[in-house]
Amino acid sequence: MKALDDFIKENKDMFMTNEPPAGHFERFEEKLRQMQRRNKLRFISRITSIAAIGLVMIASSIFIYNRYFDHRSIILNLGDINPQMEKVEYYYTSQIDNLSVDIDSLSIGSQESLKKMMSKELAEMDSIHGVLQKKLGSNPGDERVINAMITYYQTKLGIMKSFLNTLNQIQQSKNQKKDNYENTLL
Amino acid sequence: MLHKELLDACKKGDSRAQMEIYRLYYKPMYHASLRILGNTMEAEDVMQEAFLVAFRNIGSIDLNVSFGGWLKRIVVNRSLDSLRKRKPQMELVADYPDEIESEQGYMPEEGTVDEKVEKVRRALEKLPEKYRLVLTLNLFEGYDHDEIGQILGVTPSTSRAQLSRGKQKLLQLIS
Repeated sequence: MKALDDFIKENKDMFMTNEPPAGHFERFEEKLRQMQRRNKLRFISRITSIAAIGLVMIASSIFIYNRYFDHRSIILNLGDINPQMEKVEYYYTSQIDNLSVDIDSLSIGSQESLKKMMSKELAEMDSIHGVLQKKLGSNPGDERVINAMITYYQTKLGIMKSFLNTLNQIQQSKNQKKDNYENTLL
Repeated sequence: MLHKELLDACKKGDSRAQMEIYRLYYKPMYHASLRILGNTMEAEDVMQEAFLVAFRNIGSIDLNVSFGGWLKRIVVNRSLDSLRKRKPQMELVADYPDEIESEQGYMPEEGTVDEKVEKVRRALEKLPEKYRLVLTLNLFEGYDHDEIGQILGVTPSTSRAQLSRGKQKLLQLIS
């Protein structure tokens, strides 16, 4: 005679022969898609928050300069300050260039509207960068302007990385849908 | 893709890897939920929600720990939550001190394995909830009495007693 415990343990797989109701794979795929849409919305709200914080920080620096320092129209980049800052600026600008290439390669079709949204945020930041360049020209080597410029690069890089992650997720989801469709044709 | 690579891809939000993990695990998870809830549509819904919860939180777990065990715990907890919502007044397992009854129950000899499996499955469906839950968690999901106590909010000795009674009831139903 076999004990009930042993019988169940030995035949566990036979208790799992029934499949869930028909269409459960498709229903789950749809739930995954909905989860990704929600994640995308969360990303957009996060990107806006990051940009807002960055803008406030940079704008505060500009305000201090407008208020307390004289104005001349010389434009300086971070890399013009010293060789160390040149390396820092090179690091950020090359990272940004690389990300731009990746983003452009993925921003096709329905993703173009997302890219426009990101470009708008970045354009606002870039206008502030122009003001910072002038401020650096007026007060070369001032740490507050230098810090504001570094914050600008970091914020811009953070936004672009988050955006690229989202584009990658959308692309993976599209590839999967395409594979599924092709499988149905085989 | 290897299992570890699939889980790493899930961490990055790769929906293809998430779907692959679903294909690997849906069956035991669905049956764990079905045995608790006894309703196919509800079990599917709870099981799928558990996968989504797992994918949302996969970044917070150490993937060297068993993913299946972690996922199973989510499925079981959510199935029990769903059962409690359906029957809010019901006490899943009464918590009272009880002597531990440990005699072993034996399967009847007659019949093929298929027939016996079917009999056990039907008998399980007929069992009162308090027995069915402990039996399911112990015999099918492999939880010990300390774990069942934590999951159901009862003492390990209550779990032992209910298991023993549940086995007797189940054997009565199939003999």
